Amino acid sequence: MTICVTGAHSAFCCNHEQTSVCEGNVESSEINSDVLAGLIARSVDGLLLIDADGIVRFANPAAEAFFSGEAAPLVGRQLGIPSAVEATELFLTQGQDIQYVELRSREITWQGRPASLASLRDVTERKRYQTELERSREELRNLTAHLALVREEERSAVASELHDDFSQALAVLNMDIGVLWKCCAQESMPDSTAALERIQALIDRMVERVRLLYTSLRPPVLDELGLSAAIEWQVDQSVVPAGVECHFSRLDEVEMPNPERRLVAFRAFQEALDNTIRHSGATRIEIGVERYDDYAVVQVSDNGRGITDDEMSSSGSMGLAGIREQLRRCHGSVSISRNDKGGTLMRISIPIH
Amino acid sequence: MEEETAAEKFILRLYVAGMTATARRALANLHEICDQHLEGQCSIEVIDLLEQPSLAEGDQILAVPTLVKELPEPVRKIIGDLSNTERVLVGLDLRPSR
Repeated sequence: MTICVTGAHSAFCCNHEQTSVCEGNVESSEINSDVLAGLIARSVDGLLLIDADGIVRFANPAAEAFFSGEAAPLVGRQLGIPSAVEATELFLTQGQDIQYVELRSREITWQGRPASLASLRDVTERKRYQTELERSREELRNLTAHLALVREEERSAVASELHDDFSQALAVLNMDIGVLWKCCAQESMPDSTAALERIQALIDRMVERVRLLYTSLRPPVLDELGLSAAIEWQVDQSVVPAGVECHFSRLDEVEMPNPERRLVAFRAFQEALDNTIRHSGATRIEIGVERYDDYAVVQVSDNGRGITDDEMSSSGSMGLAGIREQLRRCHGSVSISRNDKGGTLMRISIPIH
Repeated sequence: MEEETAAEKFILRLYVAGMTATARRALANLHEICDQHLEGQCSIEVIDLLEQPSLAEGDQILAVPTLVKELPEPVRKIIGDLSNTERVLVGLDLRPSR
């Protein structure tokens, strides 16, 4: 049987033994039939002609090889009508080994009837690499999340120790110094009272330093008063000292009963704010906190130089990558874009419950 | 020519090998086609060959995803992610091939 295939830019007639160019159906017939037959026969991609009933009418050697586990030849068998707008992946069920092919097809006219010209490309190796890459990414995501969890646990433990042990010890020390100071004052020992006053001043400074340390490690305001209050506190701590003007476009009370999600939302805001202060060159930052359906949405917008396309497409800082991963695990997200002032807009979204 | 109305129930089987991205796309496209063109008059059975490999022999499945139209006759097969709706409709004999 001889098959004539007419495509948009080429045409050929072929059977298992030979292939020839159809007269008058091609724009250029410089390629002679032997060359065309050789190209089709030696192609590493499988080439198929499938009729309107889904039956294979022609298969080159590469296509036959994909189905070599079959006892009968592929030609004459019902593979099916290809239906894919773009390339689609098929898993071949025949043969001993697992095999994936990429199918591409186009509609043609064959013997005056609609048919499909399909190509099959072996993508088994690519599929294996993709699977390995995906597994590796999943491991990396799990590691990132685990590290974040460990870091939070350590922060919490250190903050707790600073608050419960150091602060208490310093307070007791301060009271005892006060008792000593009274004794020395009563005994008219000016050198000793002056020394004790210096020690008390030093202890006061240490108390303040310890307080700053444990509040920065895990702000108590977050658990005591909630996300919005913690965001206000963070602005006082980092934006005001940086000399950047800050404005709240909206500051809703967003109740987040889940402490883990509340903490992730706050850490994401801290990272966004830190990036803005350090890298944007902004003189003004606008912050919005609101509830949108069942999501807490925090926006940080600035009038800085604006994030570039390269920066947006890159994986970003490790801090941002970690935040992105933590948000993903909580079914939240962070998006970064240019705002209408040419600066950067970071939008953090996380489910409330 | 206008599309023919689905007069009788379609019995369809979708063969997949695990719920891969392609398989999920094929199933979603099939549901959409059933809703829009078959007025819901179709029964879809999804057969996962990873769980039931022997079932590939019955319909002589060579590659997956493959959609088999068992009824109304004639039996037809369509391969791929079913994203080309026109080709699926032709395969289901709901639209004449041009």
